[in-house]
Amino acid sequence: MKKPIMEVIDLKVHFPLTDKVSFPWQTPPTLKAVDGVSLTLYEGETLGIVGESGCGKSTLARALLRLLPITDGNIIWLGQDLVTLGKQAMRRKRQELQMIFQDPLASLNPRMTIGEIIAEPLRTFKPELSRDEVTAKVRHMMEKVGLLPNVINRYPHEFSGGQCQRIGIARALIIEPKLVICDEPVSALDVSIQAQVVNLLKELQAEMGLSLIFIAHDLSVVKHISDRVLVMYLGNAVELADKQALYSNPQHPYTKALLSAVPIPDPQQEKNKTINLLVGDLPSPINPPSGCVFRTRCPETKDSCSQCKPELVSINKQHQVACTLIN
Amino acid sequence: MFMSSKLQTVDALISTDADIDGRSLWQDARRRFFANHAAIASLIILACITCISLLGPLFSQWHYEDIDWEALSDISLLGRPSIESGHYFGTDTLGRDIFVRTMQGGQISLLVGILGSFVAVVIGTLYGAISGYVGGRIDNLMMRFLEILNSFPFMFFVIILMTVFGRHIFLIFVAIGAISWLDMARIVRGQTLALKNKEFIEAAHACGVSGLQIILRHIIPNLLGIVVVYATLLVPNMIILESFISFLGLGVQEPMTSWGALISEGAITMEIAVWQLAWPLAFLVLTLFCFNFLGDGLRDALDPKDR
Repeated sequence: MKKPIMEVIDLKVHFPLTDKVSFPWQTPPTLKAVDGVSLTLYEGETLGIVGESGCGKSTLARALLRLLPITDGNIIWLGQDLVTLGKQAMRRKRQELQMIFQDPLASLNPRMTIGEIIAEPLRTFKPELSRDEVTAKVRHMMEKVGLLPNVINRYPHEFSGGQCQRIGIARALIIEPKLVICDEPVSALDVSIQAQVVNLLKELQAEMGLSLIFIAHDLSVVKHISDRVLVMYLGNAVELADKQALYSNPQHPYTKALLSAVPIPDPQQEKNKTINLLVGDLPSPINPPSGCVFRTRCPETKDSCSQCKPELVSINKQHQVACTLIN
Repeated sequence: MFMSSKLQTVDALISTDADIDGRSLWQDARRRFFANHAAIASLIILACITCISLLGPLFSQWHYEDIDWEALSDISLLGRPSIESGHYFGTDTLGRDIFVRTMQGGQISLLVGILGSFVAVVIGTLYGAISGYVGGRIDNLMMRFLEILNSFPFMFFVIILMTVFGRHIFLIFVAIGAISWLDMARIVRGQTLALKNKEFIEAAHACGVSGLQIILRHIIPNLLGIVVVYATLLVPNMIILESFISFLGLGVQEPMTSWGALISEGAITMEIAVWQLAWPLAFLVLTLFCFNFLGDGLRDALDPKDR
């Protein structure tokens, strides 16, 4: 039985839109970027998060590390609630939780050498290490992520995107975290480099026993790396299932539509497949539809969908769906 | 044959474990700066002016307070610039040597310019960076405070200082320092706002780096380019400001002088003794030009995109 390391309970991240009000005593409207997501992450597994742009994937990732203010909910990390932790205590916890960013070059300080960049977490969390020890660790880490250690004194602008992402990975892994959140780590890279970086992540995960939360909007990349996949729509989790179950037997109408749009690498099949195209646009997260947020675009919608908000409910051991019609 | 040997050298270089040194953005900027002839020439001229101002008085038989009684009898004739009399730049209406006085005034003017902008840089950068990084209500408060200070009429402030505490060189620093950091703080705050949402700041935050360390280690080094440029362009402003105060007669106290005070005195007698105006004016104009060219050169070097 796998051990859960992180449990997220009804997490909400709402941003008040203060510039939308004329007087300070009015309550500002809120943008509901993440609106009640619950999930459990097990030790050593990879959880993929997919969804279209603006569905709250990145907000969820940042909220899990408390890089954003959390409106409501709990994040239980190894038995401790991160939401209630003080500033100092949270800072200490950060050595167990690390993050890899979307834009490889923008996430590296242009004025620091990559040696300094990779060493930064060590400097923060292990100030007792001597300079030589730090350098040795950095070189070792650079070798691990496939960088030549003799480029330690170079600057970020002297590297390619893929190399910069490796530097970002090295920085995240050097203090041996237990969980790494990857916020679209490969979407800024071209396809061959994507494969290298994803495979590197997989190798390092196996070697170090990491848990990963892997965010992407590329369904095939997520399929390659994940054990389980969470599908998000407008700040809500709509389906959470094992990779096999989700890709072969999607239950939620949104997941079905999403998967039908994945290109097939065979021109014959690609020509014959039908995409069940969703009508309409993504509703505004400031004023989401009542009940099921997907009902405005759902091909199978019924009157009852607007009554109450569906929760993620298990339909079998590996599969949870949030849809009133299925439950 | 030649190709292959070259390739072998490259191979050897790659395979050795020697660390390859990268070229930082600073080194890039330095290269671009040294390619800018106007800026380099300005730098050399400024260095010369500074040296002359500091060392020049040693090569003259006169002291800046000394009155040449002989020349005083007929300033327009005996007070002319000449090598024989020892008054290389001539004398002023009181028979004091203009060369030594210009040098001494240069010391004061450069000191005010450089110290004034140094004060502005230190206070302005820290104030602006903290205000921009912290944001929210504190940012609002800090900026409103700055606006209140900025709305204070500068000359009024100087006159009050001078009448209450008397004329003193230290008060000029206070007066100039008090207003000059305001613009600096604004500029730095704006840059910080642009920087603080960059991913590398978020990455530092995720790595558990504390707020102060983020400001010192990540924000300020990235601001420094703009700060350096602005500081260089601030020096001539400071000098002009000091000259302006001195021109109005509120600046340094006699017998000390500054370029502004010398110009003010020279302007009265420019019809009969033009050298009394010409020499300090020439030094002032040259210095201002050089600082401006230097600032332009630095801006081009540090900010190649904005050209």
